[in-house]
Amino acid sequence: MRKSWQAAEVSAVRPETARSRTIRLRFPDAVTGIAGQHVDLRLTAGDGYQAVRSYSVAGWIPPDELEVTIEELKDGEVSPFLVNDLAPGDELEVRGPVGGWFTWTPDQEGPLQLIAGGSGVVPLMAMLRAHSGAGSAVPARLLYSVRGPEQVFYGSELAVIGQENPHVTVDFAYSREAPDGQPVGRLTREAVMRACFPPEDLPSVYVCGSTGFVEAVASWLVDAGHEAGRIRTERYGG
Amino acid sequence: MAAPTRGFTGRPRNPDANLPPGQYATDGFPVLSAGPTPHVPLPDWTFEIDTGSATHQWTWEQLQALPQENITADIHCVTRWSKLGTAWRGVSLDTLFEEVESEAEYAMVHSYGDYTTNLPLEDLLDGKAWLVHEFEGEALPSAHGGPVRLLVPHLYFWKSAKWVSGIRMMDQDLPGFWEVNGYHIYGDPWREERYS
Amino acid sequence: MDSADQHPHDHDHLDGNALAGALEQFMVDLTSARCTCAHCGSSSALGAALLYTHAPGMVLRCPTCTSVLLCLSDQEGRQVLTVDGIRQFAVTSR
Ligand SMILES: Cc1cc2nc3c(=O)[nH]c(=O)nc-3n(C[C@H](O)[C@H](O)[C@H](O)COP(=O)(O)OP(=O)(O)OC[C@H]3O[C@@H](n4cnc5c(N)ncnc54)[C@H](O)[C@@H]3O)c2cc1C
Ligand SMILES: [Zn+2]
Repeated sequence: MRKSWQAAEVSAVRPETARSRTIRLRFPDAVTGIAGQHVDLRLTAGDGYQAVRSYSVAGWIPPDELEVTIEELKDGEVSPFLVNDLAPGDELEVRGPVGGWFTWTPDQEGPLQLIAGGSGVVPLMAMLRAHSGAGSAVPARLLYSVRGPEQVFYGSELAVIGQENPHVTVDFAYSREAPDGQPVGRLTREAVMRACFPPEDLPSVYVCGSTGFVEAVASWLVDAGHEAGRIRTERYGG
Repeated sequence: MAAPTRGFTGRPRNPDANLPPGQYATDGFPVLSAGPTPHVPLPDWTFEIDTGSATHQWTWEQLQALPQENITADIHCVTRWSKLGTAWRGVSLDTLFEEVESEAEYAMVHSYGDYTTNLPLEDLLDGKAWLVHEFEGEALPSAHGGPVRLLVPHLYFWKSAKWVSGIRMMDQDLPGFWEVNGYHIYGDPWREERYS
Repeated sequence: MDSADQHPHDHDHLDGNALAGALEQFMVDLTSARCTCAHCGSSSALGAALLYTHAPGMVLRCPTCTSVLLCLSDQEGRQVLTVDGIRQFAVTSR
C-alpha cells in the first residue's frame, strides 16, 4: 500500500494574487488523483513541532507533479509561511491526494454546478480542468464569489474557458469591489439562484469556501428545492 | 522524526521552566470544542449533583446567591498550550458539596451537549475546583463554556468541562469522553499524564 | 488454548484470519463509505458528516442528530480510533 507521508519537492512557485500563490510539488513517483481531492501538508519545526494543513489540488501535471494554491490568512500559522517563505527546492511532507466524497469525474451524469467562495475555487478549478481536459459536453457553471477582481485566482484561464468552451459558463460575484458596471455587495440568495442550474435539471452541486460561506449557500440551495443529497460541500474552516 | 522544513518555526512557543513538561505559553485563548456550542438561556440553566440516592439542584439565581470567589490560575491544555494567570469568578465546589451526603469517591461531570469527564471526588474538593461564570471580569462567553463551566486548573484543561450541567457520583472511576478515547484517566500535567 | 473451554464446541467456525480477503474490501477511502448512525439510525456518507477539529482529537458527528460517530486522535505515534457511534459501514465493491 502507498506510504502515508512522503517528501515532495517544491518544483515551482508563482504568485496567483498579491496574497496567494500556486505551488507545484514534485513527487518521488507518479501521482494521479480525482478532481476535488486534497493533499495534507506536514511541516516540521527545528524543535520537532509539527503542523498539518489540508490543501485542495488545483491540477495535475503528469506524471509526477501537482499544484496547490494557497491564500495567506492573516495571523495564520502555516499559510503565511507557504505563501511568503517557501522556495523552489524546499521539501514538504505530503499525504495524498486523498478524498473520495468531494470529487467529480467526467463520467458523472447531469449538469455540473460549482459555487466557490474565495480560495474555495481551487478544487472547483480542478473539476473545470478535468471537464475541459476530457472534452466533456456536460453543461457546467461556475459561480465564483470573490472580494474584488484583484483577488481572482486563475483569472486568465477562467476567461478563456468561459469564452471558448460552449459548455461552460463562468459568473463572478464581487463582494467588495467590482469592475466598472458590475454590481458589488454581499452574495445573496437571489444572485446564487440566478447563476445556478434550477433544481429540475438535477445538477450535481459542489460548494467550497469558508465555513460561513458554505453554510449560507448550502442552506439557500436546499430552500430553493435542490435535493440535499446532490449538494456536496467542502468547508475550509474560519 | 521527519527532517525540519527549511525556515518553518510555527507560532512562537515559549518553553518555560515554570510550565509543565511539553507545554508552551500562549497569550491567546484558543477555543476548543468537540461539538456544537449549546446555548442555554439563564432561566433554564440548572446544575445538579446526583448521588444515586438524592439529587441536589441549583438554578442560576441560587448559584449567584452563594459565596463567590475570585480565582487566578494557570491552565494547561493537553494540546500543549498553557495560559498563565487567568482570572475567573465563581463558586467553590466545596460550597456546593456542603449539603451533599455521599460515600462515592468518583465523579462524572456532565455538560449540556453530550460531553462528560471523570475525576476523583477529592480533586473537586478542598479549594481545587469551581463552577465559574466570569472570565477576566466579563460574563463567560459561550465559546469558552458559558454560562457556567467547571474549573479544575491542577489537571489538564479537558477536565474543566465547558457548559457544565451536573455531577453524577460513582463508586468506580469510569472514563468520560476523552478518557474513553485514549486520554489519561487522571490527567496531571506535571506528570505529563496525556494518554492512557 | 487456555480459553478453549469457553469456545463453543461446534465445528461451525473458522479463525478470524480467514476474513482477511473480505475485509480488504474496506481498505478504501472511507470518507465515501455510507455509515449508519448508531444513535438515530440515519445513514450518510462519512464525507458529509460534521467534523470538529479544534479539540484534542478529531470528532465526527452525525449530520442528522449530531451524536458522535467516531473520534480519532493522534497520540504521539499511536492513532486511536473509536467508532462506537457507527452501527454500519457500507462500501461499493470494486
Ligand atoms: C479539505 C480542505 C482543503 C483546503 N484547501 C485549501 C486551499 O486549496 N487553499 C487554501 O488557501 N486553504 C485551503 N484550506 C484551508 C487550509 O487548510 C488552512 O486552514 C488555511 O491555510 C489556514 O491555515 P493557517 O495555519 O495559516 O491558519 P491557522 O493558524 O490554522 O488559523 C486559521 C484560522 O483559525 C483560527 N484558529 C486557529 N486555531 C483555532 C482554535 N483552536 N480555535 C478557534 N480558532 C482557531 C485562527 O485565528 C485563524 O483565523 C483547506 C482546508 C480543508 C479542510
Ligand atoms: Zn444520528
